Amino acid sequence: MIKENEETIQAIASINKHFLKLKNPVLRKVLAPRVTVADAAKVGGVDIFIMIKKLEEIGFEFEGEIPQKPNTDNLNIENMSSTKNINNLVSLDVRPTIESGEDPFNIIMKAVKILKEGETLQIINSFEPIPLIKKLQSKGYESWTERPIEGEVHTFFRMNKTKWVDNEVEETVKKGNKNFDEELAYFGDNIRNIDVRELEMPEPMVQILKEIETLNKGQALYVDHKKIPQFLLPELEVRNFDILYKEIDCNHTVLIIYKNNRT
Amino acid sequence: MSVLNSNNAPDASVVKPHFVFGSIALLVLSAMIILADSNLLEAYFNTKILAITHMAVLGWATMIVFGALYQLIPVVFETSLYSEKLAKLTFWIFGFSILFLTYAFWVGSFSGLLIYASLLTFSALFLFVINVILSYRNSKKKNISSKFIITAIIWLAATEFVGTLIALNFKYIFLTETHLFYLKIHATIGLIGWFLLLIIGVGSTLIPMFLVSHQLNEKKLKIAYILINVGLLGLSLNWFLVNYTVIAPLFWLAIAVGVLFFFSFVFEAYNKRIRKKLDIGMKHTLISMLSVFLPIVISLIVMMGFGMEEKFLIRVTTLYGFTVIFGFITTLILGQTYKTLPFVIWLDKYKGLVGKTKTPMPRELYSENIAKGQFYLYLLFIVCMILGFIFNNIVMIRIGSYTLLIVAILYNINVFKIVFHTVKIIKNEE
Repeated sequence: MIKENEETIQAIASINKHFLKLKNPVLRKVLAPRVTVADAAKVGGVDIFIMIKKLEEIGFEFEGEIPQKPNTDNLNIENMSSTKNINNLVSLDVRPTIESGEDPFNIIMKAVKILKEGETLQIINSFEPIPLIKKLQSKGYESWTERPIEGEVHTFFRMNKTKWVDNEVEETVKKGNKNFDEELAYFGDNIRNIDVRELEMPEPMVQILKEIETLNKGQALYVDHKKIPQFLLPELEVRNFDILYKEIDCNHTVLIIYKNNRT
Repeated sequence: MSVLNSNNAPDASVVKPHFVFGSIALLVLSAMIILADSNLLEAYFNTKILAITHMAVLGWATMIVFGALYQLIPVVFETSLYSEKLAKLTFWIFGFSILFLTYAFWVGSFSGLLIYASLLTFSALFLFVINVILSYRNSKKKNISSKFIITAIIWLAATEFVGTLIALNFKYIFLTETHLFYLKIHATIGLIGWFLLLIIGVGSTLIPMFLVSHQLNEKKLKIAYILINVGLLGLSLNWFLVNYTVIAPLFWLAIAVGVLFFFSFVFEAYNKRIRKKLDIGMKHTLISMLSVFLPIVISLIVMMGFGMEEKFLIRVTTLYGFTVIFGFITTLILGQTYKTLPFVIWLDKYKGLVGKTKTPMPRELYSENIAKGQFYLYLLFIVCMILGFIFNNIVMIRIGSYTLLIVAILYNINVFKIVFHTVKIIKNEE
């Protein structure tokens, strides 16, 4: 997002001075692509709605759903233990690293690697490192945060053997579009599958249009395609079909097509 | 983010006229080559060759490229064309300016008509450049192919700028060097900056798509992009600013290696293809890709001279232009017409019927036999002309010229068959 518009930095910096750090080009380059708007709002401790409003003022359109319920990460704070109860605390203050304009990510990851069982890592920072928390949670670490004084955030990580989440699985889900997966789940077994990747143009379009003519009521078509079929889109619109897509890689996009008067 | 409801495809009425104009231009072009006759073996800057070159690169190649690009922009940029009305207006101005410009060259009216003709051409191309740049601004997908296309378009503007300067200089002399010096720059950035980069941009999308090949190494394209642009920029800056003949070969080398990287990408797509059988459109395309080695070798001879006699080198310079325009560009366009145009017309006529009833396929819109005949005759034309230029043989040139006329007629028959196709519904036999 910041790549698209330099103004973004100014706008979000005006919300909260924490975001002024984004003006540092090195930090911006390494941090910005790792976070979403919601994450950024949380890092800076501001309401996501204010954030979105500010972005809309400078010409961004917000697409997708605004999370209504509090992020599950917040729940971690409830079961947090007080610092006093922790044995074997390894403390790491990354504020000087950030001030010098470097990305503390690698330093933290090194510290995590040498962390022994039963030890807890304490990261002292001026904001909540959401991307790091997500990354480590996916690797099975338990985490919680504390804000002992204004402008100082302590984040704790501890190995949790019982909550192991497969890294690979989590990443695919994250990459995918929420809408797409929801719809896919909605149709369940009531879905027909075709793969048009090995067909020459315009066969994919012909096959898809043929298939949707014979779909049962409430049934959807799931297509493995090479790309988003630009010339098919207007035709689907005319025939009252909706299409959702998810990009798997640069040579593989999956589509769900269904009649749009379903509800 | 994932709901796609926009209609990006342009109306067929935007694309069609470019193909009609282009194919008629090919016919006119072949007649001009027959009329030019022995002029073809004289110096490459004579009025007839200049007229033929401009008819070929603008009336034929650029015209069809414009039409094809309007159709391809949704595929490569994933956005719609900025303005279809502007595209139609551009077509009329451009079409008229090409006829005007070619006529001005043919009759040799350098200080009279040529200035107005070139200014008009400049404005038409400028409108096109604006339309594509504004479309690109809306594009969400900024991949390597679209970078090639947009860079090619900037080089097109530069080519046209230098061309107009040369034309103005015939009347209001203000340039310091001779016309031939600027002509060299004009031709180089036009052929390499505009056509070559554009062909790489479009080709890197279309060739894997038509061959149905997956998992290609896009790094090759990125390297090609950098090498060709650095080479071309170096070459033009060197000419304009210092003109050291010693460093020119370095830039030549950068461009040549860049082209080889693209060739290697195409070769990879060819090897990894799922569709084993090549249709007539793809046969043309592969011949075009192989022919890329000819101008690389010939341009080296033109640049270095190797102590050959002046008269021979002048013909070799014409041969260089010939291999780029006819060997590489025209072969590709002849073939890609059979991949693009039938699809455009098919989409326009059958989109409402597809799936509901059995419809013909795009390839059934033209005669396969005519296309095959056209292909082999075209190869004959290329061989005859190359021999004619090398051995200064007018008979070979004449055989080649008449062969091209037949090729142009066959091509026109097929193009008109496609454009004026009437809807046929195949009855279900089951």
